[in-house]
Amino acid sequence: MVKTDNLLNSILSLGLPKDILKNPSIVIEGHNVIREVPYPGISIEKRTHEDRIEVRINVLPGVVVEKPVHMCLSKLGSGDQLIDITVDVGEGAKVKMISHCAFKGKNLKHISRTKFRVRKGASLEVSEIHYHEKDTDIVIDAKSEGVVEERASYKSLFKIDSNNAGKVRVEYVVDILDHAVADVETKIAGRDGDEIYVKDIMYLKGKYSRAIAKSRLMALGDTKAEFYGETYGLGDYSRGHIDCSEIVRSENVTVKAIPIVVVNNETAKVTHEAAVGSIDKKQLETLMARGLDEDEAVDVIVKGMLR
Amino acid sequence: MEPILKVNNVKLTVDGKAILRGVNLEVDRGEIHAILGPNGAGKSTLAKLIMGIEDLKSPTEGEIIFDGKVINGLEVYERARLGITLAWQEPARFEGVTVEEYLRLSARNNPDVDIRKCLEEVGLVPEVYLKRFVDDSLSGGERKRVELASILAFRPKFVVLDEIDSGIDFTSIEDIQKILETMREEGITVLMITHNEKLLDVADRASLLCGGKVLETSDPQSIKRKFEECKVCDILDFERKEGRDGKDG
Repeated sequence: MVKTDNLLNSILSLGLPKDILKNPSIVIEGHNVIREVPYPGISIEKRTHEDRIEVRINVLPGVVVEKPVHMCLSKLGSGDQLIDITVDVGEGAKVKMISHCAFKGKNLKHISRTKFRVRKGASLEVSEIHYHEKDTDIVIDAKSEGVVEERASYKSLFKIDSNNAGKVRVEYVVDILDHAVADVETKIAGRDGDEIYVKDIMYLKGKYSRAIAKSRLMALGDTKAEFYGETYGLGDYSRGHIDCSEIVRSENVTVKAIPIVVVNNETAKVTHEAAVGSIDKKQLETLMARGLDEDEAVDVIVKGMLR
Repeated sequence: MEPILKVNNVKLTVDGKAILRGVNLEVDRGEIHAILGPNGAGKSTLAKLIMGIEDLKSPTEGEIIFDGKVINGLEVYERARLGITLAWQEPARFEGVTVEEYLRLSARNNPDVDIRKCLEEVGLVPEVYLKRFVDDSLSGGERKRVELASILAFRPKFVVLDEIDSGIDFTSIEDIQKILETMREEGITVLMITHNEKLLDVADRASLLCGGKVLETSDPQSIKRKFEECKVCDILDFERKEGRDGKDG
């Protein structure tokens, strides 16, 4: 018990909101569940293996979960964390999940494979927020694949803005059916030595389906950052948009933004915008005219963009 | 009393073109000083040189002295820390920064500043605006008011207002008049670039900038009349009278 409390305190000390433990939550350190407060209307099955953990989350049909469901995934020290997550949101259900991912140490690897299904008329909102201790050396490989069924909605935010992001690969593949909506957003600030690769693939399969894939990548040190977005307008009157913005603030950066739009239906429409550039000088000078030095001003602008 | 700002024979040449041709200007402590002049006269360039923005940190020749200190070459934030600030004609917008955070940044060295009061002074209801973002969701007029509130929160000794009235509707001009009066009451010296007659009414003095030089400093109404004459004669005519070809310093 004392050991678990110490572990929880170590995880929370990485900057996680303190009120997580007051709410329904599940805390997984490495491949072990160290704390769980059940959620009414949601079943969670866990299967622990030596080299990975499987988590299956089922939200029963029609259940509306008022408070966000908190998950905390952490790995302290060194080694790998492999997580297979399956999320099934029943018809008409509504749930918001927040994954707090906390890492501290060297030679860490966090690999997550998420499969989700948002059934008819349901709503799933997922935020994955990373907290990395200073000088943490980590590889992150997070892939989410799923289906948003008729008139359902899926909203996702993946965010890393603390210290070094590490070697990061984030990938989304989403099928969007009739009248369904998907909104996928990635915000990552990279610093010296970080490598970031974000790939969003949206298949607008259904009629009147809607999707937006948005990314904000920041190369604030010697960083590689690449966004690759593909959106397919397949369904009648489907609409999609790719919005990629990358900020560069160092001389030794490699930054790419590759939006690809594919339409094979004359009633569909997919648009894109991609921008790579330095921090807006007028924004910088506006803040500097209030006494902030350049680094302080950059910090305000970056934190705002990553919000 | 020593002027808070002295611009001594400031010349600026950019890409071989003379923009400022020897500007001399003195702004007294606590006054509202208007700068009038036709388009291309160098008004905004002078404002940028005073704040040091857009890589205009030093004139080609001459000195800018603030509060007894030569500020040529100083960084923008160094000038701000001396007490100078500027409100842009089109203020920048900030994704993900709330009005409250923006005002708190401005007030970070003034713990006794009431940011709610700053918003009220510019005609914005704190309950409505504090949690809003300083981004494209604000209208042009709202953004300008937030900028003025941030100046009140910053409590500078000296502020340059670059055409703060542009894009503002007629009724809002009266609000800006009140804000200017509030600034004067709080001891903030204002250098205001404007063409607006109603705002000129609030000014203590004005200067006419034409062809890259201050032609005259006097009471606002006299300067306004001179400005009308200047508009008639146009800048090229002025240059001809001055015996210039536009390439000197």
